Amino acid sequence: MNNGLRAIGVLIFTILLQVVIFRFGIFNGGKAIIFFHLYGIVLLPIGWHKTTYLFIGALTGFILDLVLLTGGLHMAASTFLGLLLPHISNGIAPRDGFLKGHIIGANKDGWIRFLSYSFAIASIYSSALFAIEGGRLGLVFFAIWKGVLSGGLSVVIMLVAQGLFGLKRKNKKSKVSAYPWS
Amino acid sequence: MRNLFNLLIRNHRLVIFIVFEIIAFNWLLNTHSLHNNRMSSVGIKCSNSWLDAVGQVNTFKSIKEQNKFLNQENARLRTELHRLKKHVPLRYRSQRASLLDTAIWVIKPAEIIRTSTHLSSNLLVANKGELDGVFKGSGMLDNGCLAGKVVEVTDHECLVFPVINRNIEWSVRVGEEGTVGRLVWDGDNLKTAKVVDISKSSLILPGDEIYTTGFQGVFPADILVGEIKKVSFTEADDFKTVEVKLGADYNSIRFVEFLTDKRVSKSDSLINLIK
Repeated sequence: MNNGLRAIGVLIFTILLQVVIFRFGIFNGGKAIIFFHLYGIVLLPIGWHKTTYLFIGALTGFILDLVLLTGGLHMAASTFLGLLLPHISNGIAPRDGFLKGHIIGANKDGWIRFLSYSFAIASIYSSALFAIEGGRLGLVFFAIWKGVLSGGLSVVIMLVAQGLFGLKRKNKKSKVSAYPWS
Repeated sequence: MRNLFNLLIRNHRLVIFIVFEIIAFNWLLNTHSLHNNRMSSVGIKCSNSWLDAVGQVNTFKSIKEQNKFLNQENARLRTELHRLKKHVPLRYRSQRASLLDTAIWVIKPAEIIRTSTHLSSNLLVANKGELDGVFKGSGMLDNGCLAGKVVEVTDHECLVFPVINRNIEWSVRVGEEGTVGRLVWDGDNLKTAKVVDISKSSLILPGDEIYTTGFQGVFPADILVGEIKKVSFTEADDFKTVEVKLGADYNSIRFVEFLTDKRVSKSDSLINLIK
């Protein structure tokens, strides 16, 4: 299956999970909230046209706002994330850069890189969302603090998901036999 | 226009981002009353600030015109003040004068009906007499300044010795707390008189004002007499001679006020007791 279509499918699935299950993941009086749909955004292929991320971000936020009745909060935050996404991926890219269409994963890129990428995405998104929700310049630092907490929590869930579904099992039995005649 | 399109195309990502954000915030403002209120208050603040700034600019632009109008208004008011001043019976020039007890001093307006200004012993006749509340010894003011003293009265007329009469002297003071001297008229000029018996050591300058002392009982203290015009003295004399420009104008004198001290009879009886 095409990488792009599969990534879109995963994104839709994560949005569905966010709406159905993780919408209830609110802790510490709303200071830490799980945003699992960001896992779908993390798994979007790198190297697409930059505008595509904007549209995908805006659409994701729009759907969440429609379902969760948050009235534009997610759309504003995820559009902002869509604008920054290419820059974040550039920031964590190795020296040679990522190949076009590369999907970041703990298996291929290492846990540290995956962790950095997903934490940056989750923190930026959460901070933007809380800042917009606060609606005051004086609450920006508090919003960033809440964003970091929520980002950390979301990343934990993402790491679990990555650990469960992202790693390919190594086939212990080699398909190519050293003794083809056997 | 083409350049504008090129600019938009070049920055299409930013334009799309702004469009999406506008949509999102519009949605947010329509669904969240907190944000709506806050945005409204921010809008009102911005609007007020802008209107305030525009108002200040407009005010600044109109300052010159306002200044011109104010100057015109000031000139008009000054003229009005000068016009009204002649109707004021007393011109109080010091703090002490403002303490004048009007319960003691009775003021009666009158009109001069006869004058003589070409003699050395000039006289004035006013149209108020004893039955009108003007008595022998009452003081006369012209334009709030010392002008004369009533020497004879009938029922409805009175005879006044003005300052411009050589047979009368006045007790005056230089400034509010200065030296006391005698005001006499030398018979030369209707507009000036002389203050004599001013010691050489006293500091007197042209421009200083001369007031009544109140010692004679004709006037209260601190009624304006005039302004010092010239100060002169000789080595042989121990006193200065001060030329005073009189406040009363005898060339145009007409409407005057008479001041009468209610206590004058009591004071006279006291003096007569000693005699």
